[in-house]
Amino acid sequence: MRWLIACVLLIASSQIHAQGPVFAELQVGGSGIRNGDLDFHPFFGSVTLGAFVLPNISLEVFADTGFAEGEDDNFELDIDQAFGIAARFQSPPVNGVQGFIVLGAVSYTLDQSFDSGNTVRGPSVNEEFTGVRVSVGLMQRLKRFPNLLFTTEYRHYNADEPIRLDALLIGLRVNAK
Amino acid sequence: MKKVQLRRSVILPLACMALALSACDGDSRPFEEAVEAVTLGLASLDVVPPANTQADLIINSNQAIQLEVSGRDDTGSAVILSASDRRWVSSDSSVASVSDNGVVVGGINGTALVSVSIGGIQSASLPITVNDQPLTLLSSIEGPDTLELCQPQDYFVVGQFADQSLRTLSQGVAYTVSEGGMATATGVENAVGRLNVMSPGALQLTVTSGDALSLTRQLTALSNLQSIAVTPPTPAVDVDDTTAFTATGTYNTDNGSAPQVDITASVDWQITTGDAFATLGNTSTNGGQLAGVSEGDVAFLAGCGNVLSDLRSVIVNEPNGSDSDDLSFNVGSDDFLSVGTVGTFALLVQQGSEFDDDEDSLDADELIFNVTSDDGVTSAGNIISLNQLDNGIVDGNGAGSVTVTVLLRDDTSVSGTFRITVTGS
Repeated sequence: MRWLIACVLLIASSQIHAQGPVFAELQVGGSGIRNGDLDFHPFFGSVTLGAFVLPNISLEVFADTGFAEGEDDNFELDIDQAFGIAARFQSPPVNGVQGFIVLGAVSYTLDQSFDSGNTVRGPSVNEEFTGVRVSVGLMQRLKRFPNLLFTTEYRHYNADEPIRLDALLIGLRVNAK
Repeated sequence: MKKVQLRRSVILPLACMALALSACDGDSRPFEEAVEAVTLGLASLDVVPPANTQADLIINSNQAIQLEVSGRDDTGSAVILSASDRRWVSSDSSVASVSDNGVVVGGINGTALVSVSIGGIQSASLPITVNDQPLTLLSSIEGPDTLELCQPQDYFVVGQFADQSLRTLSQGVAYTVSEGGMATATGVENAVGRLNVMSPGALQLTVTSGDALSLTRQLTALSNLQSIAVTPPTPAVDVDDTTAFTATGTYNTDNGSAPQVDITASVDWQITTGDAFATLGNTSTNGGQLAGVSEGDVAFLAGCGNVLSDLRSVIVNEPNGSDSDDLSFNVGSDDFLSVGTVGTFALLVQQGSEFDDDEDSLDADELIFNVTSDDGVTSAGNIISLNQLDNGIVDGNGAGSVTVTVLLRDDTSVSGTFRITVTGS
């Protein structure tokens, strides 16, 4: 993950010059991950920190952690963790609503185990994937708290492998100067 | 100045990100294999060396061999597994490297242990010794002394190397047969020679390796082949359609039995008349496949030396498209269905030459089913049961092939035919 550390440092250094607003976002989501004939729907949380480098263009780092594993046919699959870097491109607000797309790089770790229902557990697999993140979504600014935005997002992680992650998330975003 | 800083602040991270995006990494196979292992009930694994390998597996530098993997479930039953795209590991890749597909390539002299794991289950290790030595002589040709006509047999060669080790040769071997006109020998995978004889008597099988080494072995071709039967009794094929015929040889034995053997891939298929109207496959992979070319009458037979099948006549017709005079079945475009002796198949019948999943099927009581066994000997009922009251449920009863002709009860000129092969015992 040296590339990721380098990118984070680059972003941090670039923000010294950017002097734009920063934001933080907290999300929860449900995902769909298909392994052959098995479909898993683990849940996870995600936190994002970002800063605008140009109007409506921001750079951000994000991290996910799973909190509920998905089950299918005695198998369990969990999003162990994920983190990455991304660029966010958002539209100008219309009635407080903004659309956005996010393109980035992600490293995500999945954990699969087999539970036959007795004390014997089958083979467990823990594997890290590195790939791309693509997201699209909407943000709604809250009237009572103008610095708060309600967000909905479709997110896709793809490491050019058959196992891919699709997720729907909702969250709250805080803007700060 | 601020504009320059802003551009830099965006471009640098974006460039870095683009670099990262191009570096996808990760492996889904362990997840798939874990499911595969549980689904198959896999309990143990073994690395399988190439067929015919000597007790000690010794190879030269840069020599490649293909390893396979076999498995067993909790009950000890064999589990069929592919060696491809697995986690193969060599204890010393400088001695023997192994690919994801189980191909081992010899490196420096030494011994390495090769193993494979699937879904967290680890195989025992197979020792592979690399000792780069020249081949000094051909020690033996291994295989049966006698052959039945048109029942190909495999032969392999054991060589002695400069370190006195005996190794099964896996490359650089050529096979020739003294009776070239009536016997053929072909080098197949891993230097195994496949010998197919078509006339009885003595013959010599000669193996050569390089310019200097050769070895000859005397073999005997038996004369037990009595007759060849070609099935099914298909009277017609369409232009641009292919029908697969099967050649079954009947052999005499000392104990009086007359075993029947499928020799489709090894007999000589010949069109005797009408070769402008059809082509007839005559290789080990397409033997007996008759393809209609244009309208006309075709006669053909299958032969093995002097033993010939009866002459078969087939009419090649222009296809009549979605003709209402045809019945079609949910058995695939080649009108061929393979079922096992376990389980059932729900046969559906429609009027028209093309079966359409979206169209309604005919009821069983609208149809007449005629079933005949392809070998003309076995009772069709011993091969399949066709429950006409339940819209054509096909149950396999025993191994064999049948031809099913279905007629429309109200108009018997509307008909269709397909074949069923029951696999297993």
